[in-house]
Amino acid sequence: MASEPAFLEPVLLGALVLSAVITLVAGYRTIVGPTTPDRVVALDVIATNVVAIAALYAMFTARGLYADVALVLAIIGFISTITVARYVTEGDVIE
Amino acid sequence: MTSTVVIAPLLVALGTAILALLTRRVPRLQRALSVAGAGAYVVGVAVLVRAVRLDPDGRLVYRVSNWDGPFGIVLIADPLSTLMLALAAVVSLVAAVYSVRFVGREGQRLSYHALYHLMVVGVTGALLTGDVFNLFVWFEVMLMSSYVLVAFASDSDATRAALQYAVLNLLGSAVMLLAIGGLYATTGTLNMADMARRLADPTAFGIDPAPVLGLSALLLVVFLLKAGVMPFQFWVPDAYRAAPAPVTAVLAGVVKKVGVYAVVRLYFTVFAAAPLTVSLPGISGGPELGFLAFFGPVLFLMATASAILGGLGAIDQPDMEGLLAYSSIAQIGFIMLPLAVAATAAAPAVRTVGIAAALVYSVNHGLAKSLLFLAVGAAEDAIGSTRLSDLGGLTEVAPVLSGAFLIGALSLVGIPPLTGFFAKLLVFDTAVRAGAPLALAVALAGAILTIAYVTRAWNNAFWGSPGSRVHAAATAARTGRDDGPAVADGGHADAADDAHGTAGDDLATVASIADPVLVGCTLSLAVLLVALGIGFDPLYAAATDAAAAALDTEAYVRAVDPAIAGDAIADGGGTGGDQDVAEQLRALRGDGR
Amino acid sequence: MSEDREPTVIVKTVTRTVVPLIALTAIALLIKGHNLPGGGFIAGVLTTTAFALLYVIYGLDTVRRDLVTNAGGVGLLSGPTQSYTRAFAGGLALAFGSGVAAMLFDVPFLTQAVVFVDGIPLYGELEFASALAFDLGVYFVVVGSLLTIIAVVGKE
Repeated sequence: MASEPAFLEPVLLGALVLSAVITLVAGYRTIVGPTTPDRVVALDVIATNVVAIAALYAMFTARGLYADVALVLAIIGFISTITVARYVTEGDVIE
Repeated sequence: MTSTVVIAPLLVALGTAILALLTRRVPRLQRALSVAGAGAYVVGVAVLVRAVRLDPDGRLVYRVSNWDGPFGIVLIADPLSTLMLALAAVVSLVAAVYSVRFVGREGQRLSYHALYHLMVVGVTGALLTGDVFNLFVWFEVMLMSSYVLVAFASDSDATRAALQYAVLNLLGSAVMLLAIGGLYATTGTLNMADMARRLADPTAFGIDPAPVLGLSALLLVVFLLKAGVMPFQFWVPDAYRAAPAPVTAVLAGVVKKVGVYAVVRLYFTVFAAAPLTVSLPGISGGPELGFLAFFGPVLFLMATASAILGGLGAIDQPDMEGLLAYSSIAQIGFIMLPLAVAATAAAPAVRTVGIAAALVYSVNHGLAKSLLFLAVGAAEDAIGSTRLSDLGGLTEVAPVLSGAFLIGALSLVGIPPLTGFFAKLLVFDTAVRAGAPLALAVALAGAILTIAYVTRAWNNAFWGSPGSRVHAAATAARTGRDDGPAVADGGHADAADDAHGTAGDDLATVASIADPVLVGCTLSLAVLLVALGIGFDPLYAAATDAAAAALDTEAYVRAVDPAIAGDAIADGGGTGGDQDVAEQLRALRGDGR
Repeated sequence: MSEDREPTVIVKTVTRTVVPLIALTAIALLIKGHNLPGGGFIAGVLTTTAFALLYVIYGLDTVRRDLVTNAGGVGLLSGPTQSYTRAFAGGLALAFGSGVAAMLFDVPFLTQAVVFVDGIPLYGELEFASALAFDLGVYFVVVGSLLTIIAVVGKE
């Protein structure tokens, strides 16, 4: 870790804060609504940002463990978005 | 020293569950395996009881996966856990035999036996484990199978009751996990013995006892929810009504007692070690009382509410199962009452008697209540209803069953020479020895209420003129169409009309309308109640041993790891060392799950 | 509901690419699980999500016909639930057996061992851990039970 540039840490911290704020804002959109597609998109944004937070944290702590967390979260977020989208368009998840 | 005997009951029950699952397509083999497994479980427990008795320390420790002390999971068999295991073994064997006959053909195929034995696995693990987090895991194993078993009838009532039961217990589990996490954060260990050792000397390990008090109070709520004590009793009647009779017998007889066991083990063995003086208005908790000074009054209030309100509720129930369910709430009050007295009494002799009283009462209630639920189940199997207005005159059509029921009921009331008499006597004795007139008054009032509802059940269901459904069932039995509730349900109206005039003397020709196997199961429990009452000494000795073992924190710690007691100074309670320990422990747990 | 129930070509193609990737991740987590984060449980959950994706996109019937029935004919008995329940029971037996096997060597229940094999061409050192058998058992229990739930609830 000796070769990492000095600005890496503040940049990572800034990115973490930004992702956290976006998650909060998307949470507001999830609650307020007004239509279901809005909420779906907001939830997808939250999922993406949680993945981002996990990945940034993996870099921040230099531990590969959190990369696994990010990977699994990304997979589950992707599938849940597809499932919800299908529910919204078809009204049925599994036919 | 490691002894394989300790884990034997657990492995037997788990193996039986797996075999039952694998042989689902061969119902006959599955049933045989299920009963044989329950029998083997009794043998395993008996061997364990003997081994613990012969052990000079009276404690056997088993290190699962060969990991030592506070990091690995240890199983500990001492007189307290073996007494509870013996109760569990007896009740589960009888209920397993009963299930073979009682649960319908379709139900048997639907992995009933596998679930049943998984529930026994959970009970066994919870009774043997020496690790708080592991206790949570076994509670979950036990509850997960019981959710399905409560919903087993699959009608709307059962589904609603199971949903309520599941949601409440999931909530309880969440609270339990929260409390355990908090305890881990404050004490730095999950091993019960290690926790007791650390709590005994909080300053050396840098522990603040105040949050431990709050967290242990949270944990107490969970155990009392599982035990069904008064403010947390609301799931009991619906769940007991919905579950099949043998499952109800195990739920009331064994699963509830696991909650009682957890209270005794954690509060009298582990948390009692903490020298925390609590000052509440009206209670003077000296250093010799510690944590228990706080829990004593709380337990006392809950026990009083359970004994009185549960008894009043039981008097007003329209059906037998509801009556017995409310009676369970009342009786758990009787179990908690001596514990509450023991918690507030400083004298060790009174404490021992109090815990022994609670344990004897648990055994009595476990056997008697299982018997009563099984007897009611047998009556329902023959008649198709448990409503008091549908029953009546059962003594004429099912004399043996009625006799067994009477013994169970009298044992609840506490008539000599049944076990219940000595159990009640010990409860009164505890109150007198501790000089607690209030506890004595509560116990007396509860006893009177017990007499009231037991009399009502007996008078309405067993004496008097036979109800219409009883007639129908008796007629069906006499004409050889003995296929149980289906006939009674479908044809009772006209059959009753036909039979009403002449059945009075015809009934005498019917030996018994109840299934002989089911009656045999209930009878075996009745015989056990009488035998334990007449030869009360061994049970009393076992309960006193168990109480002494529960109170001897030091010996408990020493048994788990002789090194633990020694390295208290070497470890020094440095937080850095604890961090490493935490890492290792987390890695271990992550592996297992 | 809508007149066109068929999922778009895009989502079908994406699914076809993503499902093997998920399966690969699951297997990676399963194999390294005994001494790194991962293990049978999370691998089982990921495998189930891969199946869930197939169910959602291709439908219950297609999956049953093309996957479960063709995979060794186990689906012939009574639909996929039968084979899922078998996976559950088999997994439980495997996990239990791996624990009991330790007792044959006169060490406590669930004791694990590890063997390192050196000098494998192209790979170097290979690690055989007995904990993998337990993890595999957990994996099958999780896959079996979750897929049973999805198949039964999806049919309703």
